[in-house]
Amino acid sequence: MFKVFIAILQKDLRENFLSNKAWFSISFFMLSLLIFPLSFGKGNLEEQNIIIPAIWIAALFSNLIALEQMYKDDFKDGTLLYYSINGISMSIIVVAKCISHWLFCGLPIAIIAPICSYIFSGESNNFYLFLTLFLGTAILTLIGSPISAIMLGISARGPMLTFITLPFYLPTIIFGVMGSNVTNNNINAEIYLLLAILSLGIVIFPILTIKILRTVIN
Amino acid sequence: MLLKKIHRFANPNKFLKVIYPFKKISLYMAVFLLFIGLMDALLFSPPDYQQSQTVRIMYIHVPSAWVSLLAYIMIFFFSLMYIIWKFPLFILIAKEIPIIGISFTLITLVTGSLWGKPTWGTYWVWDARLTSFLVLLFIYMGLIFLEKAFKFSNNGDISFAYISIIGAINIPVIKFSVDWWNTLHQPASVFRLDGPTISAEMLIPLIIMSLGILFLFFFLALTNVESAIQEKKINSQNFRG
Repeated sequence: MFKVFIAILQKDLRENFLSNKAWFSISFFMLSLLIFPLSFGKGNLEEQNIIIPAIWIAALFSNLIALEQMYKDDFKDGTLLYYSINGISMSIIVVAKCISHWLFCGLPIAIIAPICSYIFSGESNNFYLFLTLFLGTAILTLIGSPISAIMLGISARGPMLTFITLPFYLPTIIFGVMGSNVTNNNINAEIYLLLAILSLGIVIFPILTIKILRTVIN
Repeated sequence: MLLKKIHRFANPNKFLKVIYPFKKISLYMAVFLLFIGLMDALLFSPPDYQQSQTVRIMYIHVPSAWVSLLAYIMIFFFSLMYIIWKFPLFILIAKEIPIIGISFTLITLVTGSLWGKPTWGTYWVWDARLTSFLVLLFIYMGLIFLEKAFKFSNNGDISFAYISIIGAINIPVIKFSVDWWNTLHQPASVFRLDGPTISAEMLIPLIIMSLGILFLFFFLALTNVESAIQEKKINSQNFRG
């Protein structure tokens, strides 16, 4: 079972690496970050303290953009059907998909974001920003996965997916931004809340995705 | 045993016959109760000692908030029953409720912000109760768009059911947001473990108004369900012919 999981994960990662769909979301993150200083005018970014919200908004939308592709290609060329015919457990597929999605649309953003924050606003204490993004992007991926599976049946799915997913992302955004703004505080309630959401989400959302994928495929 | 009883009403034609008297009763009750409740609330109930006359907004605001939460809970349970027992009638009912729920949610938000201006000094604050209620509005919108996207096929039923179940996470957040966070919105004063803290003179019109709005909700929901069943019949007839 573990060997199958590794094989599927390798296949997903290779596909993501070779195609442009995963690189697209990281590039979109950089590009949309560029818009914020330009739209705020002459470099008063440090005073307004908008770099953390800007990073969170950019991370959210780059995650959303890649979400549409999560199961679509494998569903269209019949790979998912092939897996289910061959008796490969759905849970393996869903977990592999979530991990590969997060490795390409979550982790790079969490690593790049502190550097961007340093470049834009000159603030060097960005450990909490990294930590909240590290947890938050994983939550975003997990919440998005069942909705991405649901949308497999609709023809005009892009705007629908965005509209339905965004309300569920809001708590993560709220706690993430609050957690990133607190710089040196020993008790970080927001990070514990994010950890709580993550640990609940790891249990609930893959199960939902499995149920939905079964009904969609059959 | 219970399932057998539900089975009897799973036939849409029988269901239409069963709900017809309920619909009529709900309409008459809604008109009657809303008339009495509005008279009592607007004319005979005392003004608040702090908020004076603006407290009368409460008699619209609170019942419609309760009903919009109830509407979502009903969508949740009908979707759950559809996923478990696979009766098409359940999802037919669940799909008709969001459009009513969203109107009560809008009424709640608008009256709430109108009430907020004289008492809090602002139309809107980004605190937990208000934000989570706004999220409820957007979840209702998403459900309506999802239903419209699948207008001509049955594939949407299962996705509608799952999305509404995921969205139900928001309901306990709305209910307990005033207890978990420090908010400007006042905590619950009617549904409490140690009894209501609101005075009886205000509680009675509030209860009458909320019963009236509840019956209004039932009337609207049943009317929508009836028209959805008829629409489905016409569609299947066209499909056959």
